[in-house]
Amino acid sequence: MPGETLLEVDDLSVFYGSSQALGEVSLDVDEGEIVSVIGPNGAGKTTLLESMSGLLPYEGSVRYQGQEVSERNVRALVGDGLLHCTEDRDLFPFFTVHQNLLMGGQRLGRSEREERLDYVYDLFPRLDERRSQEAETMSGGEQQMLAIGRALMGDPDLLMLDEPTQGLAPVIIEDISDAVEELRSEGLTLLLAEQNTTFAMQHADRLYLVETGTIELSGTDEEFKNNDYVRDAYIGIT
Amino acid sequence: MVNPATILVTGAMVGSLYVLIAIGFSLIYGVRGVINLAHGAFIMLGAFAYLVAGGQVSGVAAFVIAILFVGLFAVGLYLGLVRYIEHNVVITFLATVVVALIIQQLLTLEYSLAPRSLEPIVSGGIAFAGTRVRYYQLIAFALSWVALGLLFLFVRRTTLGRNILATSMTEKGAKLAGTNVLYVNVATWFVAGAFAGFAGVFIGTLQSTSPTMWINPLGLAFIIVTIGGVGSIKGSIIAAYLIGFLETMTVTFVGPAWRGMFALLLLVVIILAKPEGLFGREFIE
Repeated sequence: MPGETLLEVDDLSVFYGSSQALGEVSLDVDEGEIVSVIGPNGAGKTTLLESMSGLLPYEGSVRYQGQEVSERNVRALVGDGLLHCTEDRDLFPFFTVHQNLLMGGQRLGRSEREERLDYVYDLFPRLDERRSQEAETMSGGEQQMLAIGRALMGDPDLLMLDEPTQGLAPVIIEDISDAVEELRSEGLTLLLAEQNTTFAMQHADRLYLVETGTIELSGTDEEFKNNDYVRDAYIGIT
Repeated sequence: MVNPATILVTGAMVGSLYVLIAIGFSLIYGVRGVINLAHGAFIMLGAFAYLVAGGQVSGVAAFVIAILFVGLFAVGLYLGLVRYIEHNVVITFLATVVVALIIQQLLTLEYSLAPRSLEPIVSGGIAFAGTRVRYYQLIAFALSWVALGLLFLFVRRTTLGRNILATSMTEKGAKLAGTNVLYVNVATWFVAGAFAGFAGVFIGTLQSTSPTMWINPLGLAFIIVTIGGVGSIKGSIIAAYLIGFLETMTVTFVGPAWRGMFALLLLVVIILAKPEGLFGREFIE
């Protein structure tokens, strides 16, 4: 069951110069639930997540654990358990898998870091097999696992995944899907930004549809599955 | 008959000095993507700091003071100016040149343009491999390798060093992994400044110390980093020694007037054949 509200966004607007990327977006994420933001390429999903994790300045309000995000820097937010896996993954290409994971767990004490490493390697056995491999030499799917693994090393309270299935083979998407369900079973709160509507609806408790920088629709996964517009435009079932 | 050992020894001495000149420039370029045109002025400040401190304390103490002073000056420049403009390459380019020119003017006002010679940390020398090597050249050679070893240990073995490496690869990724990027930048500028101060003391001793001495080291740093590969410390070290040996051979076989010509030719060849430099952008490997 969802708990207290972890993330509250009210009337969020983001501008790139004079161009408005997001307009008065409001949403919330409760503890323990999986929320997904879906929408086409360029709709503003990445901008939304980047403003939430402190990477972009914004107008309006974004409160994480009751505190305004803009009052803290990215590092402080990471320390408070807000971890963000970006669309580009932003891995350290010349570091090995193990070194990338250690960077993600740098705030933790030695024993806690070792525990998190075991946890990540259990969740993604492929990473365990490739501990000494440099990130830049890995496949896209493995890099995605590493990006999620690095974020998990930070012991998140809220994990934001931006396009976790983009460009991945179906078999890898299944692995990512299994990991998301494992994280759900542990009670981790997740915010997914996805173009892959099927994946999003498979996992999310609630969804928001973003188009051209505004939220056009919100509801539960069932409501989305039964919505004619969503079915026509995003799932392709009539 | 030219003794090859003489070329080897002289080239190694020159190369070790060129490494010191280029390493800080390479570090800031590699980690921050900032072309710091005040780097030559950092080197000059090292020489003048040694000149001033040398009148008050021992040579070794003056050497340490010069290194720390330039390291702290570099941090001050970063915190007071560069951090606000570093995302604009052109503005940073211009602003750091202006800083160098201001330092030149201030030093000219205080010390005039007359070249001065610095008192070496240790005087004397030995005959070696058919040439005379001064003790402070040997010290510069040995200490440059010690400093490089410490730099490698620092980036490989310490949390801050690993964070510097990580930030050089992706600043956004480092931020999202919880790295204190401001702390990383301050440390990078301090280390770069300290290396420049180190270089300044030995250049000021070997050549001369004057308010216009910043231009040649800056040009040299630029050439070395371009040949070695932007952001590659290994590339900078190899390119510095390459130019050191090339210059020594040019002076020996062609004449002193041609000293820098072949380094420039090498630069042109590298830009045409391998524009990313000998080692591309791999930072510390």
